[in-house]
Amino acid sequence: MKKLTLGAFEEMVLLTVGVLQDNAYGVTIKAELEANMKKNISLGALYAALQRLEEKKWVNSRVGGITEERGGRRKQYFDITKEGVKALNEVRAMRNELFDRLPANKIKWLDI
Amino acid sequence: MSHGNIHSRPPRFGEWLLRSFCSYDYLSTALWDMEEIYHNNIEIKGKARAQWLYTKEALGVVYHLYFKGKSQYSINSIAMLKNNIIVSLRNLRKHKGNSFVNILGLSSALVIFLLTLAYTSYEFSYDTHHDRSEDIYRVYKSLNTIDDPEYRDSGTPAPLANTLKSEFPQIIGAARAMSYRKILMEANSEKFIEPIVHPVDPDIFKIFSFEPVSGNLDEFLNEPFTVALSETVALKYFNTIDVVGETITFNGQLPMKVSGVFKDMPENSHFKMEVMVQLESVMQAFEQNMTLWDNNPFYTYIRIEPGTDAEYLESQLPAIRAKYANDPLDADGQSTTYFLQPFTDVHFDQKVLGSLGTPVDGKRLNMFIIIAGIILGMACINYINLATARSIVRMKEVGIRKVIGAKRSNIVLQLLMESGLLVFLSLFLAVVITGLVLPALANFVDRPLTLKFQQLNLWVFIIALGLVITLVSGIYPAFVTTNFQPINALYGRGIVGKKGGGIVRNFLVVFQFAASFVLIIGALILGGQLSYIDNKDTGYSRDKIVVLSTRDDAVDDRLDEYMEEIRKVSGVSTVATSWSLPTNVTSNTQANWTGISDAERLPMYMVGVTHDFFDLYDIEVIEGRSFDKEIRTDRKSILLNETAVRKLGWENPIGREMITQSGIKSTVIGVVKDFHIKSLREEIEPLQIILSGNYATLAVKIEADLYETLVRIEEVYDSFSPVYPFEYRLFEDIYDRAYEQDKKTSKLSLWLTLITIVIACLGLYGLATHKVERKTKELGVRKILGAGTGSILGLLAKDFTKLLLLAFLVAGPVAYYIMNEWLDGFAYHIEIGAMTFVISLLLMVLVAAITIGYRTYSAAVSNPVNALRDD
Repeated sequence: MKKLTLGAFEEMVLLTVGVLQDNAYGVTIKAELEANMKKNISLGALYAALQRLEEKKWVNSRVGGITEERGGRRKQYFDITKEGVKALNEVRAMRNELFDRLPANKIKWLDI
Repeated sequence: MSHGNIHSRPPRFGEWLLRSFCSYDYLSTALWDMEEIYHNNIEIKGKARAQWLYTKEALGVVYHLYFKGKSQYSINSIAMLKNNIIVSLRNLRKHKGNSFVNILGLSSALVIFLLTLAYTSYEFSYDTHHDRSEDIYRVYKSLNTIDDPEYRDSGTPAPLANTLKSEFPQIIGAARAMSYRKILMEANSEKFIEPIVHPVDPDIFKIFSFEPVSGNLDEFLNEPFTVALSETVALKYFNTIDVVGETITFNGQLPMKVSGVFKDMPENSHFKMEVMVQLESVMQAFEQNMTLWDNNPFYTYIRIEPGTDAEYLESQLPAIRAKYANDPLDADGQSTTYFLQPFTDVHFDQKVLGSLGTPVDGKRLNMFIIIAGIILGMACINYINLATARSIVRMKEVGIRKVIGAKRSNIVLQLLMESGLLVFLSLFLAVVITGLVLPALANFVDRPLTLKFQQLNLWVFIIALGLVITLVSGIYPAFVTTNFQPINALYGRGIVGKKGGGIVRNFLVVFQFAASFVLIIGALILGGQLSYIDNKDTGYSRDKIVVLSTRDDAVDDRLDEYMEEIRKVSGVSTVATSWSLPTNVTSNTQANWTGISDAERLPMYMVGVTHDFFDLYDIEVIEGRSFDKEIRTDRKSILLNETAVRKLGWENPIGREMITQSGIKSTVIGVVKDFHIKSLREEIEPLQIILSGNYATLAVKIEADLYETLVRIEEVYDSFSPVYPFEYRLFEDIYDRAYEQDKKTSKLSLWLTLITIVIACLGLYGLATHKVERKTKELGVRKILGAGTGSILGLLAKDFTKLLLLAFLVAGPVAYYIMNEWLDGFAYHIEIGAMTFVISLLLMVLVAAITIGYRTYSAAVSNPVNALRDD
């Protein structure tokens, strides 16, 4: 079986979905991402990423209830799954391991 | 734009994109989220920007999910499409000449089409903004006393509206209206010259849809001496729209209360009411008798219950007339007949005289649409011809594709793709050019035309148009090109024994040539007639005559003094007043004298003038004398024109006694040479001229520098009338305006002719291409056997000459017929000479020769080896 990979942008999206907990849907994810990444994210790119994440079973989606402020419109919420958390952990572990192996003087230089 | 944002819809285009492309599961998601973002953006960035962002996002979503995503929707057809587009572009680039010819033809035809559409759709949008406008009618009349079955006129009597309303319960509202030009209005102790003021009945608000801005629509104009203003005028007068109850002085004498303000009417209304005053009270103030059935200064508009039979209503009108106006139905009918006309037709009916607004010629509009359609059709035909001609060249390409295993449908799609690409390129070009040219056209037709680029349905229309043209012009060549056995194609055998298309093709070219001929001949005759009108002796001079406007009672009261003062101005040679300008005598009456028999009561026009009238306009008195200032009895004298004398059959008119309109017994003292009392479209009518101080026009002849003299006249005028601004018009301009429509038609027809010739040439080019492609081998063989370039050109030109002559034979009679019809509209016109036809033929032959020569010369001088290499 081919190992599933987590791209950099996907990782950001997945993290954001996790961070937002029960309030993760298109608009909020986009806003959060834009705040963190300091750049415009197109909804299309976001959906594409979410779609891939869903295919990999790292997020679940559910249709949320009707709210006043959206004029009776429903929304699609995303939740991070157990596997999703695991994937994040793996990536993080790998990254930390690599980071730990950086020579000390480089780190000093990087810290400036 | 600020209100209603809460319920504002995102741009439909974006939604449509999403709905048509997205897989189901993410479609709704995207729609929900984007709507939320859209509303947030409206708050922050304003509506326009929010709309744009929405569309941009939608495009992004479609791109990511449909083209890049791994959804089940991204199938191979996308790749195929890409490949097709690439191949199409390559083909376009490879055959620059062909592509250029096609794009030129299509885009010029499309420009004409789009311009025509912009103009006609604007005209046809007139008066459509009223609720249920199909239930609104205008009443007009015809007079049987006037010896003209075509005579119709929009003036109706004062009691008519109310009588109709009380007689017929199915009439919901009936209103009279009038229009006064240049009325002095005083508001807030400021003076305004209002260009047009409409006295109307309050029912006008029941008939038409007005939107109140302040005040209550039911109370508009309900009381005497009230006025209703449009928003713009209210702001102009008071700088606020909250003006109900304020006072405005009308015509410097009548104080009026503002009873309401309404939203401005759109520009495309046949009357655009700005200031309305209550009609009944104004008429009383002017001591106008409101019971007369044969005084017709009013327009009458009615609204009927939905579903009422208007024709039945119309058939009841003679009975009403008989009952109230004492005009019984006898053998030759009533003296006046009333008709109902759908309100939306008013703007397109120039036959009914004196309508509000400026009616246009509805037939002419339809004509434009037809012509534009024909031109577009011609361009499509050209494309078909060229593409079919190319099919021979492309057989190899198609053959190879087939052998490799392409299905026929694939190739057809590929070819359609190519047509589509070409059409949309042309369309794009045409839209750009139209956008650039439209302001000029708007200026030319004097209408605020715009292509509403922000409106989605324009784009939908343009894209649909593109698709239709693509299909119409692409499908036939695509099938022809793919309809053969690949084996033949690879052998290099042409389409053997297929002659069917030739007849159709030739027919189409003949048709195009015929159309060009008709237009050229038409343009020549139009130009000829217009220059004839310009140079025709109308019987009066127009040079150096200035018509002054005197709207002010202060001037009217001291008219003699005023005219005397103007006479003293250096540079002024003559001053005279008259009831009307000699170009347009409208007052009509009947010949009358003691002991006249009914048969002798022929209709006569009448004009009242002052002494210097004949001098001023250089109207020649050919018998007897004109009015003399020294002879007091001239107030009871009459002059006739030649036509009147001829129609009355009088041998010695001088000294005969006639009775004028006002019942004064008068003596004929002279006969004037005929001059055109109406436009040149009409016969000269019999005319009586009397001496009269009443006047509508005051004209001045200036014998020095025009503008310096006018400045001096203005000084005189200002000393008489400090309020109203000095206004003048050159008689020459007024005269020209009568033929302005024709001049414009002539200009337009010139352009249309040019474009048609261009397109016909492109068709010819296509045909020549076709011929050359088919005969490549034959020409090669001939050259090898020693045929010279000249003989080969002759061989190719022979067929075309036949077609050209055939087209000419078809077009000649058609053009002759159409132009004769048009010329018949003029009582005085040129004759269509043979020269016109000769010129048009020579022109076409020249143009055709250049086109064919250009295309075939290269074939005739090319190396025959290349032509024969295939086998």
